[in-house]
Formats: sequence, structure tokens, C-alpha cells
Amino acid sequence: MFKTTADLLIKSHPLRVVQGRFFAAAVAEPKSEDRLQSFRTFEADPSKHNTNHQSQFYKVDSTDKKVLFQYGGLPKSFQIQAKTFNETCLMVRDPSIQIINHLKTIDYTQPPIKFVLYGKKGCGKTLTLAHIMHYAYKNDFLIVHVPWVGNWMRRCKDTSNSETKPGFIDLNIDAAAWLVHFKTQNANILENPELKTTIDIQWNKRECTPIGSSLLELIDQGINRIRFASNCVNYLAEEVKKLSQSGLCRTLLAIDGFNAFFYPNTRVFTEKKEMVPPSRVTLTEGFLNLTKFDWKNSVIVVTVDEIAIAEKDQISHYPRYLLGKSGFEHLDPFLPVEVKDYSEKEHQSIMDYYRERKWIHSYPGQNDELYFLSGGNPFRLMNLCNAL
Amino acid sequence: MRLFPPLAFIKRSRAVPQEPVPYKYSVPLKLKQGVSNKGGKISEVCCIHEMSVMFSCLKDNEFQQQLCHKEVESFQKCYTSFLTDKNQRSEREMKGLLTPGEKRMTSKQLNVLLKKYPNLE
Amino acid sequence: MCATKVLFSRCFAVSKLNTPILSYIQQNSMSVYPNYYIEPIYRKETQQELVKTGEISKYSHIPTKATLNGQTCSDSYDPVIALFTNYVMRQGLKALAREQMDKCFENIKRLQLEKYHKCTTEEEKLKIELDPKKVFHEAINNSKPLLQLTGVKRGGVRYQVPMPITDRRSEFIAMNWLVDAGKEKDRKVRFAMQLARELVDASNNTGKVVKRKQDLHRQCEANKAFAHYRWS
Repeated sequence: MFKTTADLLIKSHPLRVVQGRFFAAAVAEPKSEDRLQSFRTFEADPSKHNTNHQSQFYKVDSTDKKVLFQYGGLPKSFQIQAKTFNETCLMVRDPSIQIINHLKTIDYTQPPIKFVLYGKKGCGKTLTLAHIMHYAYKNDFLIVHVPWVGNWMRRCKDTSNSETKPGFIDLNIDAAAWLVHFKTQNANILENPELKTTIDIQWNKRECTPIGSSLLELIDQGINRIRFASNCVNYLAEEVKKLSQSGLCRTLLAIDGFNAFFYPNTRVFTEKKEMVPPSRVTLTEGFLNLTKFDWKNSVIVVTVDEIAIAEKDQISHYPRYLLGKSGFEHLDPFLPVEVKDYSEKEHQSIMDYYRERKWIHSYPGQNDELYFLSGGNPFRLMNLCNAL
Repeated sequence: MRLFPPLAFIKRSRAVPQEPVPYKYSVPLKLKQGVSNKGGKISEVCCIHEMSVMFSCLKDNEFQQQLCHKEVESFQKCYTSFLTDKNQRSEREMKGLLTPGEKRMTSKQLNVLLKKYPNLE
Repeated sequence: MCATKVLFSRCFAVSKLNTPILSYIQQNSMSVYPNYYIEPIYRKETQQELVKTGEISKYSHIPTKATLNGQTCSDSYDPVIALFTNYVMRQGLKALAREQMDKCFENIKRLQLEKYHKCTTEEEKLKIELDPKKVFHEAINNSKPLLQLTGVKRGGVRYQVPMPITDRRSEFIAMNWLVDAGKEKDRKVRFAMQLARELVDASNNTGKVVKRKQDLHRQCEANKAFAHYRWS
């Protein structure tokens, strides 16, 4: 009994653990600064993350965060936490390490490999995607990132009938917002003067983007003339494919909630209050184009999420169900990567992190109690810890 | 005929009391073996002195309680001791116990005492 | 008048017949349990103490009532907070009250951590209490009034007389004042947020509730001359 109470004391006072490790380090071999705190690593470059850093937190640089996630990409609850903790820290977990290792070693001369992140609600799919995007950003990938398809299909800001395609609906404000997001994320890469358009684009009788104009001009055209924003996105998608193919840039396509492109019910309505399926939204075309196999020098990482569809159909979290027949056939063959609940080690790590940030106050047996109550689910754990 | 005058002296008026007046008993002349339970309730007034001391202190410190720590404590102590005394008294009453040398007894306690040592017949 | 009197006496006669049954029900106060069932002992510490003293043998053959949902042996259980949650609850919606309390504590933490991270010196940082439960307890302590006013009628006039207060009643009043303060808010502000702000203020001895307590003390002081009127 004495041993277990001692264990409890040690568990609830991470400082003692740290000191113990430090003294052990002084006596044994000199360990790097990296290992000073068992739950935190000072390795801020995702390219260097490997299984040694598993279940440890690394701090995302605030400039990187601003560039990558200013217009979306991190869940709202996570952003509030980051604001309270005064820092943005991501946990290095197995799915992201696996995918990053693949990204380092795959043959980019072949058609793109498609990774599909799947998992139960609140397991950390979006944050895994964020980690991968951070790696891509550090390695000068061109990032084509859709923060959340649900925002377009279920919470669109504005609809209008497409001028160029009869029967299609444009989500112009959303498209323009996405173009701004794309521009901020790839500001460095777009400065490269070699990125040029390969075709003449005629917007209407008077406006035209000639062949050979820079990609930045194309994007600005879409942002300034919101009427053509959706079409601009589709043209941009095509251009990005061609540029990757020619080897001018390496692309990462990251889409969160990809299954929303295939779910037959949306909350997009025409003026006549008829529901518009995703196949008749112009934006869908561009991104489905990008997820085909007919280009190279790129990688596709996509998440399928239950939350992207209506609650009544949230039965299963598996890709085959969420993508449906059409989605599966479109994406097939892909590499499914499961994002699981927290393991014991990861749970310990996040509890230590919360204590270090002074977010929760300990009592004996807290770790075990919370692991049991949350079932290892990260989202549920976060909600439980909010009240402590 | 000469008998009328003496009859005339018999007055048809209310009866004149005879000395000594015979006392009419409605109830036996004995003291009850007990005391009435009406009235004589112990007043709830207590701790007035402590209260006034506390008020003067609070007024000086502009009603900031932290600075009047001692006075507040003595007031609360007075009240809690009063309550415990009251509870103890009522418990003893319920059980019928008496403390020797008590100054003031409630009517219930007096009844207990009188039951033990009743008035002589 | 006479007829009603007769009616009343007739009713009284009827109720007299039924009193045996009524008094039996009143004994149990409509409980599902018979009156010999004891309250549950759900805290580990109390149980361990009983084992130590040996009193637990007394309880081994007595049936106990079931614990309520909110009564846990977990170390995160706090009886004062559980009591306060009951005061927050309306229309018996305990789950909603519990949710609001959780959100309130979350908000307290966020407010305090914001201040904490803005501090520059260690001294300032030490002054800020980050544990929401400690903030809560401090707030309750600072809001407890020292006296209460009761209405005493003398010569047709109702005077407000100051008199001492038990600890329990004082706590009850403090908790109700805090809940009231949480409800006095702008339409767009959430109860949980408003209550969090009130608790933080009260723990720092500022804010609406502490002011209300001080106003009560002031009134008591003004009425101290009537203190002799208490039941004498």
C-alpha cells in the first residue's frame, strides 16, 4: 500500500519526476535538453520528429501558426485553449509520424499517394493534419488546404447561380475567403516568378487573364472580383496540377472533412429553396480534380469525419461508409491511417502538460479517474479537464 | 289584629349576611402540584454587548470585515455558546434532569422539582 | 355563520377519523424508504474512520438508502459546490445546473490565467489564485453576512431588528446572493460567464455581492437600537 501511495504522489507531482530525471541524467549519461521534461520536446521542426518524440508536445512557432492557420485549420476549442495557455503546442502522435516518414521517403515521380485519416469523433484527426501541414510548410511544399468542407456544404455564406455552368451553384464568398487563405499559406512560394498560368482565362467579355501571368495575379483576380471566385478556384486547381507535374513545386493537398463532397444532403439551397447536392456546387469540381491520379510530385492527405455530415447519418466513422460508393470509387486506392484514442503514455503526457500550464489542479488518483471517465478520447478528456 | 305590627318589621329584602360568613368551596383549598406553563419564556436577547462592540469596530474600518477579525469572532462565539446552552437546557428539560444551584428554572423544570418534592397536604 | 361552523365541525370529525393514516405517512414524509433506513455513507474517509473506531459493525445490519447521482466518493467531489449547484438549479434540471457550474469554473480559470500571463513579476503571479474551487470557497467566505435583519412588530410598527445568524444560514444567504448576482446580467452575457466574474470579484472582496453584504451590515448598524426588541 505504501508503494502505491508513493506512486500516486509521484504521478501527481511532475516536478519531482523532472528533478529525479535530471539527477539521473547527471549521474548517468548526458541527455539532451530535449528530454528535460518528459512530456515536452524542444524540437520545433516537424521534419525531425520521430518515434523518440512520441507523446511529447512541441511548440508551434507563432509566426508559423499565423501563416498556416490564420483563416482556419485548428479546431475552435483548440484555439481557445491555445489562447489560455499562451502557446500553441501539438502532441507528436503515431499517425502523423508515420505519414511524415512516408512523405520523406516516397517517390514523387509517381502519381500522388492518398492518405485518409479516419477515427472516432474527437480523436485528433484535424490536429494530425495540422502537424503534417507544419512539416510541409517547413519543407517548402505548396499547400492546398481546405480547413473544413463542412463550412461550405453546411454553413455556406452566400449562394448564387453559376454564370458559366448552367444548373451549378457558386459559393463565391467562401471561395474568395479560401483564396485569401491559400495566398497567406503559400506567400513564400508564390513569390517565385516561374509559377505562371499555362492557359488564357476569359472571365467575361471584357476581363481576361492572359497566358503566362503569375499565379498571384490569378489569385488576386479571384479575390478582387468575387463574382468569378469559384471559377478562379477551379482554374487554380488545374494550374497547380500542371505546375506540380512540371516539377516547379511540390504540393501537399490537405482537406479536412473530405466526405462532405460526397454526402447527398447539404444545407446549400437555391433561391427556390431547393437543396443543392455537392456535385452541383462549382467548388467541388476543383477539389475532386485535385484528388485524381493524373498528376505527380504531390501528396494527398485527407480526413473523413462524421461531423461533416448530418447528425442522423452519423452511424460509423469508417471511410467506406463516410465516403459512400461514389467517394470510395473516386479515392480508391488509398492508404487509410487510423487516429486512435490516447494510449496510457499519451494520457500521462497530456495530464502533465495541463498541470504544467496550471490548467488543472491535482488530487490523488486523478489520472486514472480521468482516463476511465474519458475512455481515452482526447475531446472528452479536454471537456472533463475544463471543469477541474 | 295586634300581631300585624311585628309582621310588618319582617322586611321582604335581601338576606343580611350572618357573621361569620360561611365560605362556599368550589375547588379544594390546596395548591396545585405544579406551576403554570404560560409566560416566563426565556428572552432570545443575547450578545447585544458583543454586537455593539462589533458595530463600532466596523464603523471605524468602513465595514471592511477583515480588519475587525477579533470582534467578529467574539460575537460569533457568543452566539454559538448561547445556542449550545439553549440546546443543552432544552435537552435536559426533555429528559427531566435538574442541575443543583440553578438560578432561574423554567416552568417545566419547576414542575419536575415539585413532582419530586410535592407540597405537603 | 352557524352553518359554516357546523360544516367545519363535520369536516373536522371526518379528518379525525383519517388522522391515523395521515400521521403514518407524515412520519415517513412521503419517502420510498421506511423510516428505519439510514442515510448512505459514501465518502471513503468517513468509512475508514468508522472501520478504525469499530463503529462500522453497528452499520453492518442496517439497510441504507441509495446514494443520489451527485454523491460520489471521487476526490473531485466537494459538498459545498454540490450544495451551490442545487441553488443554481431551476425546475429540477440538475444536469443543466451541473453544466453551468462546469462552464463557470472553466471561465474562472480562463479569466485568472489571462491575468496570470499578463503579470510581469513573480510576486504578482503568486497573488492570483488559479484553482477555481479555491476561488469559489474564498468568494463564499467573503460574501457571508455576520448578522441578519428580522421584522419585529411592536405597537403596530414593523421594525427591522438586527440579530445574530448561524453559519449555515449565512452560507445559504451568501450562495443565493451569488446566484442572484449571476442572473443580473446583460441579455447577451451567459450566466456561467457572469457568475464566474462575480465569483472572481467576491474572492477579491470587490463586486456586487460583497457590496450587498456591506450594505446589510450598514443597515444593521443603523438599526442597532432596536436590538432589544427581540422577543422581549
